[in-house]
Amino acid sequence: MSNPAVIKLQSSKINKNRIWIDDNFGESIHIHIDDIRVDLSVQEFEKLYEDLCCTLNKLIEVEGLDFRKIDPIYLEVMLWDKLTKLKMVRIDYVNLDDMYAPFGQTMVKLSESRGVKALRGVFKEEEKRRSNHLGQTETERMAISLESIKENGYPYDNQYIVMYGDDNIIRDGQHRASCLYYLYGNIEVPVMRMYFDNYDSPNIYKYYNSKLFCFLRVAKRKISKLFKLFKIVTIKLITKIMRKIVSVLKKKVGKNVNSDIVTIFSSK
Amino acid sequence: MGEKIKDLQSINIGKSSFMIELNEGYTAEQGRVIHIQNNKFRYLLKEKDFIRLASLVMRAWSEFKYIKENKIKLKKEDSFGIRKKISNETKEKVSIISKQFEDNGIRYRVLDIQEEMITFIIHPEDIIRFIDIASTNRWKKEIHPYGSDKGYSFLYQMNPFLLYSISDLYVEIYCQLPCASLTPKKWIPLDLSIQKRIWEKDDILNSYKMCDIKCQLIYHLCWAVFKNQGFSVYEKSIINENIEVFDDKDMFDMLNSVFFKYTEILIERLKNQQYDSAILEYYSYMEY
Repeated sequence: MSNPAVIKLQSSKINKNRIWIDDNFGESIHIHIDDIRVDLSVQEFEKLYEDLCCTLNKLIEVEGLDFRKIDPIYLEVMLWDKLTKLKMVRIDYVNLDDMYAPFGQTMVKLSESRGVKALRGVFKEEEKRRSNHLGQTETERMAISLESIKENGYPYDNQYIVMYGDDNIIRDGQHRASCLYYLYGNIEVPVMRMYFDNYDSPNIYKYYNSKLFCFLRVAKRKISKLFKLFKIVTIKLITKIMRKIVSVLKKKVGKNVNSDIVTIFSSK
Repeated sequence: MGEKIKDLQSINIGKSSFMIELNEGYTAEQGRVIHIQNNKFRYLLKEKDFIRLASLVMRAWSEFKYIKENKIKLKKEDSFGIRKKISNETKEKVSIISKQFEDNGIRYRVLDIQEEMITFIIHPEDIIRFIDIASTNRWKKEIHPYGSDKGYSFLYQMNPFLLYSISDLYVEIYCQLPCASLTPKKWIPLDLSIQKRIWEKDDILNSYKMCDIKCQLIYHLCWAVFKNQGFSVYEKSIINENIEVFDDKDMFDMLNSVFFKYTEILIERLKNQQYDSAILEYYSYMEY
């Protein structure tokens, strides 16, 4: 029978092939490609990671790029499909005030980014994103970044904030940039610029400073909030009506667990 | 065949070595391809697909390290409900219900007795007969808090949990000894050897058949490690009272089918009553 302690580390599809990698606690790590399975010990898994870093270094072969220094989350979420077009990387120096961070569908200055606002306590982010570790909230990730910057400084272990081309949009390292800004204000920091074939800076970045654009952005946010509220109220009303209908029509035992049962199971 | 461009890296899987090799594609449209091969086996991927696969494996490693380094939050002992002392009346009810099962040819074992609830394991082949008995006796079917109605899935053809109320007593029914999966809201049956043992061994107590103590211990241990991520007072006491059982080879084999290479460490922690460590170290265990 299967190991009860199995955690899916990654899963995806490559063309029509299902790929998934799981950790079977105490037993082994499994890499599945459809019906093929490879079993690895923890040591073999770590070695495979290192070998794949070396493989990508030799495959992509861009001077200054070392896959051991690239965040695997950033690689898997954003970078992997651009690598065949990567031509050059270089280290550059940019003021934090000149950096832009993605904010929903737009870009904002780093000083106005979600990261900096969260650090200043403007709001708490409990969202779990695909760009974070499994089960990790934004708040937890930010806390780890802040701790790391305080302890190790920046850049740590040759891992840089990443930008594409000559624009100043942060592609990887928003948390670190936010923490640096929060701790030190507007300082100049080294970043890694990646140059790809046929890369164009997003147009939206050019219109950032336009007052009309700012007004439209704020209006869009407010309308979106109102729409969400309307949706919630409507859904609640419909749910209430449906529940009443179901309870009248169904003779089956209700979906609510008896409160006595809840108490008994709490001692289990 | 596309021309070889260069060898990229050799990798080892167990005792087998493979070379990751970059080649020209078979056609111009195909682009470059990667061979992962040795002299007995070859797996071919387009360059971009290989990069995708590599990125998934590399991220998986990063997630693995994060999970092992990130301490889980243990459920504290004082957050568990209190188990009431079992009255003679409840023991009498267990006997009555058990006798009903026996009279109707239903194979059963009593797994757990609480003052308000009895947990039975019914042989999967007798479950239909049990449902008939429950219906005939007008036992009220309840929603099980960890059952199908609450969104839980039962894997590997496991029978879903059942819950009935008989006046002021609840009767919980399993057909297999369950274990909560780490994948949320999923139950799996413990190893087949453990399931077989339930029906091969029993402890006759009063006039009903209790589940063999080793099966009981495994059940409570799995509940603590996988479901609650914490030991309740009751679980600690039942383990302490039966600690010598953990020296048996049988018990080791059963635990090994669940905890694998962590088994020896687990037994040591339990013997030293280091319950929190037993769980924390399990979730951060990497020596396999």
